[in-house]
Amino acid sequence: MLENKRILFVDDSPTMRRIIANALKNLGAVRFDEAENGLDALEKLHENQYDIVLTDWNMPEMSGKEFVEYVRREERWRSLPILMITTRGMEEDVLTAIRIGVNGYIVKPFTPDVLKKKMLDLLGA
Amino acid sequence: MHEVNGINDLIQRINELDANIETNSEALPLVHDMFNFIKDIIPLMLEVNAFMKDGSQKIPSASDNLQFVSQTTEMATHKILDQLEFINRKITEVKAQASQNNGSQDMMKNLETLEKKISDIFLAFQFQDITNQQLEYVNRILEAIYKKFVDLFNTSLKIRGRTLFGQDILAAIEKELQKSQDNHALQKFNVVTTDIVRHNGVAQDMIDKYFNQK
Repeated sequence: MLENKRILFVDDSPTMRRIIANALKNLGAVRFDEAENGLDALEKLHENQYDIVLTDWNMPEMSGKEFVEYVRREERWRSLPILMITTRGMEEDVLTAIRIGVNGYIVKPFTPDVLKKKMLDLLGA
Repeated sequence: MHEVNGINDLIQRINELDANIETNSEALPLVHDMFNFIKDIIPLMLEVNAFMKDGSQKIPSASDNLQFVSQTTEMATHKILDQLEFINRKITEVKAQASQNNGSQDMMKNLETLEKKISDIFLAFQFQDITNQQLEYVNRILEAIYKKFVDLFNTSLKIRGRTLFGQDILAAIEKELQKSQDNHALQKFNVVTTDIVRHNGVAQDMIDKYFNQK
């Protein structure tokens, strides 16, 4: 299901990047790239075509919120599925995420089952 | 103006001023009230000043300690993840060998269970990122408090320069602080806030050297 999807995940924590990479591998994904903040992710988005983006919220340089706002302003990325994986679990955070155009939201710590379900939902698989 | 020698001296002077002031009967209660307010506020300023002095010195070190904790846990986490990845690679190799040699189904099942357990441990390390973010938040609060301390200190310097009375109050507070080395509240604050995790201290070889000198 995920083996032929190209995935970009964005997190400033090297630990989280390793954990997400491991989880994606276990879910069968083979084509994924990582970015350490919003700016880095934008560069990758310009260079490659992704099926889905997983992003953290709290990051230096460019936060996940700023990144999503930027992405949604661009016509070509308006329908790109974005899943936010964050420690921010307040209702107002979720509502903000929805308002700026995030398609799915997971509060850390996540489980592989939830990650899989959310990704498949967003990919329409 | 003669030199003030501590808070009591200053309060004594305020009392003298209060007693000798001549004004009309309408303004008198207000002036008395103002003098009483000044007398009340001075001990509070003394406390605040002492707290500012001690607290502001400790915040940068507490903030460094939090950053050190974050870095240490992150490094330790990566070492553990390295080991888990190594074990995972070995399990994959063993699985390949087992399937070539027609290994038993039980053995394959056990290896898959091990893979699942390793994946669970991997996921459990999300705690490192979560605690890291909490520590970063606490650090930001500490930094904001520290900046406020510095601002307060600068404001107190402005008070000193603005009026003769302000100069006297701050001079009296400084004298009082010098006298209050045995102040119980200050000592208690110092004990509570003494750094107990001193990571920048002495290296192990130096510790051994000290013990060898015994």
